[in-house]
Amino acid sequence: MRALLRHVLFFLIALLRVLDRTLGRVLAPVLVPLFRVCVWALHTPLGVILPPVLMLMGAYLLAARPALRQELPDTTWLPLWSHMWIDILVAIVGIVLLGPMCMVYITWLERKLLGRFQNRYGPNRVGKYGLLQPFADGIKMLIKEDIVPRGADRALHFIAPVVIVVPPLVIFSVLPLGPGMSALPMEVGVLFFFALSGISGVAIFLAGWASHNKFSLLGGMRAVAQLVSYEVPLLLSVVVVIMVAGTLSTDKLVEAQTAGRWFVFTPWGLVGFLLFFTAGLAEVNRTPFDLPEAESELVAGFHTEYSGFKFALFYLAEFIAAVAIAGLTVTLFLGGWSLPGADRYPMLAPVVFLSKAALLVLVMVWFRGTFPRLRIDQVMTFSWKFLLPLALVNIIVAGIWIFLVRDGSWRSFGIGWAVGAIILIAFYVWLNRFTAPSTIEKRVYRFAEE
Amino acid sequence: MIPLIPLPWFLGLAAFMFFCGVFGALTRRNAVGILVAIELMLNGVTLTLAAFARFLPPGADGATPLAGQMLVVFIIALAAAAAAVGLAIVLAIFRTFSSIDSQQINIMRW
Amino acid sequence: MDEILAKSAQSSAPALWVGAAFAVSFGLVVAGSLGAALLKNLLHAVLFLALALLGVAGLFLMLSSTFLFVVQILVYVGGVVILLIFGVMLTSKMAQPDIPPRNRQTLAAALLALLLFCATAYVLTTHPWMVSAEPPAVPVAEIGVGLLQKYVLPFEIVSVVLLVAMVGAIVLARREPESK
Repeated sequence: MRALLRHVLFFLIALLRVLDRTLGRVLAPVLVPLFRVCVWALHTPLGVILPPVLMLMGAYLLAARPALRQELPDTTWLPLWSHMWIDILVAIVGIVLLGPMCMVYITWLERKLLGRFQNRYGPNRVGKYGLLQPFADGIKMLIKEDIVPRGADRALHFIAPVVIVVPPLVIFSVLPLGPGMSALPMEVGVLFFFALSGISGVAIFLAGWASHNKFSLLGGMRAVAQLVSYEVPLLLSVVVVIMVAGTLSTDKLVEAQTAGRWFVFTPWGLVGFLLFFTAGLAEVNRTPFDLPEAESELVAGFHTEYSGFKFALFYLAEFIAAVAIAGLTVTLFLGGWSLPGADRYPMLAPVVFLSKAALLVLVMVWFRGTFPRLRIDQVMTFSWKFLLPLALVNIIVAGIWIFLVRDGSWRSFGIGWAVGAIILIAFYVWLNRFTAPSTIEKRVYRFAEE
Repeated sequence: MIPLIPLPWFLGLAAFMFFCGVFGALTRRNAVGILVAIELMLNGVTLTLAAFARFLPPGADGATPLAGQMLVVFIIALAAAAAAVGLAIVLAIFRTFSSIDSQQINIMRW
Repeated sequence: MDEILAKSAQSSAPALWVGAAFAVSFGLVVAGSLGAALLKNLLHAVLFLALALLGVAGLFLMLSSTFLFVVQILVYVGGVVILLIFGVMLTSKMAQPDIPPRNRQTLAAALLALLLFCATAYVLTTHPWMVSAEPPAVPVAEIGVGLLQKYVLPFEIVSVVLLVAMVGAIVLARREPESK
């Protein structure tokens, strides 16, 4: 029975290989001109205009959904059963347009800015200002050979990059782009985000294991150790917001911050914002914490053995995750879609939201151009000995704040600020005595000196 | 809203999970495999509890839907703790015997 | 999610949607539990366990408890599965063949499990449960209040247990300091 199965399987694989080759030969005359047309189209104004249009279309599909939900039950010319499918489809198409298109611009922005930080031009060949470089890269990735190392666990090697794209994309569904505009208005939206980031940890682990390469495995191990450690301060820094707003729903959290009452303007909110953003950087493996893919130590970490489109998927996931974490930071601490003066126009909300998120991503790029990579022990110490205690004290401060500022007057606001700031600064100073080295010792080069 | 899927489906599925776990726990030789099977069993139980919390009418003895969900939350928390300690034990065993074959770990057997 | 479910209940074909969602979760749980119990490759077994856990999370959602859905994914897939994968990796050597997966009592265990499953399933599915007509969904806020008021004692005990488990796990897993 087993032997038979194996023979059938081998036959199928052989068939697929033959098909692959012949298809390649047959399709080449079609694909090559098509490819040329694509490249040409990218150089026309159409190519420059299309991506931002697609991105905004995605955003506004999501933005139009509340209205759609109002209208749908009254449309009689559509069959009743299709209403829900239309509703769901609009949300999915919106997210799928928005996420990857954001990623496209972020990659361009990152490379361009990094180029300037490092005194070079960055991409400037494809399209105006190199704007179309990401598309060219995408096409390049698509036509590259897909290599699976010998001894790799083929099924897992295939599944890992597919799984890793899902959580960051799904996170977009709980980000409120405007009043009532989150694709999935969940009662427990914030927790949902954390649940999803846990899944991406499993996917990274799989990628590292399935490649059958020691660098991949080490990168995967590091990634998961880092993810697990930073999840703790990440969650605890959100607790303050949940305490004060009294809800877990992302929509309601933003509603609590309208009219300029952003949480970042309070002592606990400021500290919470810094903690969340820092831990979030580690969570999506951005630069001071990009140990899982440290090229000077681990070649490329968990995606060393990935090429072609699978590698592109890792790349995609990484950048979408960066946008998603920026979006969540904006939602939790920076007032989400609300901006004093612009709140009256709900159609401006997605633009406000995306600009705020883009600003945070710029900060991430700036960090990448500025900070050196940490050592693994420094990364762990930073999480457990600094971020975690500070987050815990921050929760206490938020409790005191709720007690002091319950009448909402300016006077109590000032008192709350003073008390919160004193506690936090005192604790910070005290904490530094344990984590910061008191004196910097003279470095001894054991083997280099005479 | 009247539930569309009847209760017995959930219960049957939970029983299936539980006994898959029983089979795995009884037959695996690898200690980590036994842990996997135990997690499966625990999940079968949580599913039963959640289903009962949703379907059964609130009883006089404090058996409310909230109570059922609380029980599930506590079980999940304890299962996580059990997994952590279990894994630590397995690692300790691995260091002592440099194997986690549960049949070789028999020095306690007289 | 509840909103969508409620909406689907209004439209004419809710059964299709809910049925399809249930079928997916059902399939995940069945395939996942079988794989977790039977597969030779332990890492694959752990991943099938993750599938089964995701399926259970989906079932929680159908039981209209979003909180349990999220906690299930957060704790199990994000925590326990990662722990188990760590366990598999730290205790198996990549090059060496693994231990034989099953012991000698496989047949007996299979019979026992099958027998008990049949008995339990029979009892559970044929018992005339008194199903309440309108099962209430519990809002998350109520769970939070419940944790800190009515169920505060078990909550505190669980937190102590978690602390003890954490300390215990560290003590057990730590390498003994080299004796001088």
